[in-house]
Amino acid sequence: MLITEKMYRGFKDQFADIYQFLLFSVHIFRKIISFRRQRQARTLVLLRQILFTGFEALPLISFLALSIGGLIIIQGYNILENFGQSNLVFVILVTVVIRELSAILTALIVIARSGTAISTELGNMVINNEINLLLSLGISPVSYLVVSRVVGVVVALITLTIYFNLAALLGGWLFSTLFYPINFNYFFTQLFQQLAVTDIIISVLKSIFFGIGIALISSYQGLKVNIASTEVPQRTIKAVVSSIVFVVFADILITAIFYLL
Amino acid sequence: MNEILLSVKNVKWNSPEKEILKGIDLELVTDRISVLCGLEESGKSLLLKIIAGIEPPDQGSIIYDGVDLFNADEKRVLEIRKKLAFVFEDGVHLSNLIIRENLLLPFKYHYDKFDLNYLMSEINRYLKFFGIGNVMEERPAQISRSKLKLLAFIRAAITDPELIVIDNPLFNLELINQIQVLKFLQQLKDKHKTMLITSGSRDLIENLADELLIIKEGMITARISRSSSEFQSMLDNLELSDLKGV
Repeated sequence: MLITEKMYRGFKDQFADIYQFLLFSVHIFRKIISFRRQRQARTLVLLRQILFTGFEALPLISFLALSIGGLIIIQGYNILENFGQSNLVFVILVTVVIRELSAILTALIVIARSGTAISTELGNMVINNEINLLLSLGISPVSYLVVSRVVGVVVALITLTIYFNLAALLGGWLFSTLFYPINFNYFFTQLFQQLAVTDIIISVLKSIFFGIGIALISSYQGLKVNIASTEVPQRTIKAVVSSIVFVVFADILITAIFYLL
Repeated sequence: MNEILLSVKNVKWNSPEKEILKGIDLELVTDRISVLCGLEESGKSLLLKIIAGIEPPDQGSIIYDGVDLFNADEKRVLEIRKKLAFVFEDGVHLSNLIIRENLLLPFKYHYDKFDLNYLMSEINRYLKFFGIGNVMEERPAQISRSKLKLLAFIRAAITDPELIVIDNPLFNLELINQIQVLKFLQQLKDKHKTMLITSGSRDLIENLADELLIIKEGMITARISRSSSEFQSMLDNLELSDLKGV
């Protein structure tokens, strides 16, 4: 087969896959609107997803956020002190953590933990005939499994991002006390002066988009498993790569829209 | 008076390699047990999945109560699905739910309110009938395959469906459990349930079948009613050892 023909087929398959994914996403959004129906069964899946994606990720998020907040303060003081502008470290903290790092780092952790888990779990459910079982019970797998996961991941990601912000700021204050005996109230008053409501809104907005993207991509890849258990890790890797690409692109897009335009 | 409950119209299904179902036409009549017999890979399990609305056909339709299962709006299909139960050959359950959650899932999904006490008493009655201990708080991976299969029968029974589709009911069961399953199916028959079963078990066919459907190479080649004189001779001449299942 000619290399051009191979490339043509590759692109064709990619576009077909993207088109299928878009149809899948539209279907999920329509189901999200009717989420209140079949509440009893879905609530359990939703709560389990929030517990796993949100609550169980707290130790890792805490460690990362406290460290990042601290590192930014250490680096910031080092550089800014030379210029006699150490008070600007708050600007760096707000810009780097709240506007950028919190949402994207939290999303990457969610991809690593929950994206892989969703894709693997759904893939194994296909292999084990469990998706067919749901169909036989008159239960839409999309409505029961995917919608709850999308809502759960979004709720957990918003909460984790807010938590990441708070923990990073706290980490920043803790580390800043290593350099100066800085007053807690003074630190946070200075910090909040640099903080605009838009920063919070954008941070939350990003986590909503990231959550939807990660859950949709991971679910789609998991349900694309066909017959062999060897497909499960392959689909999980695809889910991770696609989710990371999506998160980075969405981040650039949202940042550009709000801060450049 | 028996009425047509479900119609299979010119159903075809192809795998990438070959044609598996070559235009099946079939009508299931209320209050009747139809047993589908065929050799391995004759397409009987696939036909059951299509009838239960799990696998869409490449061509043809499944009409239940005047509703085409694969071409009607989701709401109507959902209503039909509530009237239909399917028991898989391997008695599959959702692995991340405990047995109690598995058995109650259809009710929690389809209804805002249901009589939990009544359901639990029914479940306990069936657990006792099958001699299964208290497995309600256990996960499927902690339970033997044969028990999982019996639990799948319980799930089918408590939803009180109009039509029960069962793939190889006696497969993977010890003799004692096979006897209990035959009694269980007899109870459902006494309740005038309509059933479509794939099986090669002579016991099952002799005791329960109202009609015998023979499927060969993706086509239904014979349909023999119990009242017909051919029934016994067909049963005697069937090479049951060649048939998949028990």
